[in-house]
Amino acid sequence: MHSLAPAPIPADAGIGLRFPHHRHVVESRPATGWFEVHAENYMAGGAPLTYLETVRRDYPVSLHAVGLSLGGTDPLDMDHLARLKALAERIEPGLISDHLSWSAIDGVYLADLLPLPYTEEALAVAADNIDRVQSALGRTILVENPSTYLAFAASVIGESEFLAELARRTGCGILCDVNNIYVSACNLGADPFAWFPAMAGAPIGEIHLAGHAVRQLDDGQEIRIDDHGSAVDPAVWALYAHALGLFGPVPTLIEWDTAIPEFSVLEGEAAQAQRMLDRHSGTEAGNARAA
Amino acid sequence: MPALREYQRAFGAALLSGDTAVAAAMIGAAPDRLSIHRNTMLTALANALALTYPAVEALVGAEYFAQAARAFIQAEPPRAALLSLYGGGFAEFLAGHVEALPYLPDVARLEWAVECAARAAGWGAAAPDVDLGGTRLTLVPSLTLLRTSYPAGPIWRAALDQDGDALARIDPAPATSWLAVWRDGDGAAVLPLGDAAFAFLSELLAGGDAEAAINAAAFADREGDPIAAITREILPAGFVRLSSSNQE
Repeated sequence: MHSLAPAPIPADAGIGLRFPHHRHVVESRPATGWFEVHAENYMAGGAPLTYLETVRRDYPVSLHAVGLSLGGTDPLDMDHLARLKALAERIEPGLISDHLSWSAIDGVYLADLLPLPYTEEALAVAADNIDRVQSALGRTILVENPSTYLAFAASVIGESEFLAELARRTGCGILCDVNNIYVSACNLGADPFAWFPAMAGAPIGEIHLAGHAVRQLDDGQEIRIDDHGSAVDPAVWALYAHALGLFGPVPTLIEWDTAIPEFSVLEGEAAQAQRMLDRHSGTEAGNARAA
Repeated sequence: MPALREYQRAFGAALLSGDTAVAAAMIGAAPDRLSIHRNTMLTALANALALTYPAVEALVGAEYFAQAARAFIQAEPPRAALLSLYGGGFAEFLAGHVEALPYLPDVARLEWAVECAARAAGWGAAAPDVDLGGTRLTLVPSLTLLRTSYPAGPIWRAALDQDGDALARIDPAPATSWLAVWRDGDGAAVLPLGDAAFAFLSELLAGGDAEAAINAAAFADREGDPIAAITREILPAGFVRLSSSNQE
């Protein structure tokens, strides 16, 4: 097998590639800057992996994992880490990422990105897991802020402070999910713009954008669910503009995971992100980043 | 303040049982906020099962399938973050829980074999082969064989096609059948086999040589002509490649 030329992820808009669009992307080779996939969906091999290898020949690809359980107190699942490493060796992704969350306890995988109390203990646990993952992969990863629906009374550190400190301790980068910042802030009654100051100078490697749903709980409270099932909310676009103003142009991904529309809808969202990226490519923050 | 591991144990127990009160009190959050995570978990796992077992879902209906899936998730939650390979125990679970459709576990076993074959290596990986006197017969690496106690193949096909007439014409009485399942393009192919062909392939997959495989076929079908059955059923099948053994 020929090895692939390295393909770093450019500071452009990319699209989260999902199974219903495999064939379209391979056959029509759309003018998309880069693609990101959920790593776990390709670890079992078969036709999905064949599609991904084909896509990778034409585009930079980022691997976004959901199964490392970086905030978990179980020992890291070394089989899972080995599967991720094998996939990375095959695809040679420009970026690898997972979440500031946990998913497994006593060997049971709970199939969700579960929240952490932001404490010194959790910081130490996550930093240790990230260290182990990075040394196994032989490269740094990005860690994403999760969407949250509940706050731990025990939390004593702000989420962005927690992430910035993780980056300082481990050398990992940060995947800034702007939709998650907005969803979490609304659900916890916080100001989404207050998330950003702690990120000054932090290594922001990627931004995620997606849609979310608004639901009513039984007690009448309104809650925002991070379901990636609709267009990016106008308030999230506004927050994205704020992020670009601070960070300069950063690779930006459009994610859509439920009620997946035609590929052209995703291209429309990506074009919107690209226009905003282009406006920041000549800015001071952009130049500082490029330097 | 509880240790992180205590939080995670309480959180995990709440998600699996649906009883969110204890964990919610420990966290200091409203129980319905934990229920959001439970719903996400159950939906993700039930979707994974529905993707692997579409014929079972068609046979029992979406509502019943969702109930069975939920009970299975509770009994056998996943042990790895790889949902495409979650649910290998579903057939056994159905055997213990769904008595009204005795053929259902066989259909589920077939769907699991299909899922595994679709994920297996195609041509190119190391494969069993055997020399049949001048002709080399190579089996696709993804080939698996399945013995069912009910006519699972036709029921599976009719359920996937949502063909109620075809389903009504199938006699669901116990009847042993033998199936070959292998990766074919983006999915998997299924082919019914006679007993001689099944015995022949079983012996090859177990590492036997041509003579042992032919003997196994002859033993399985003492009245028929095993060589004729193998020639008719196996040589033209999509899981076989033939080449001259003199080309090496």
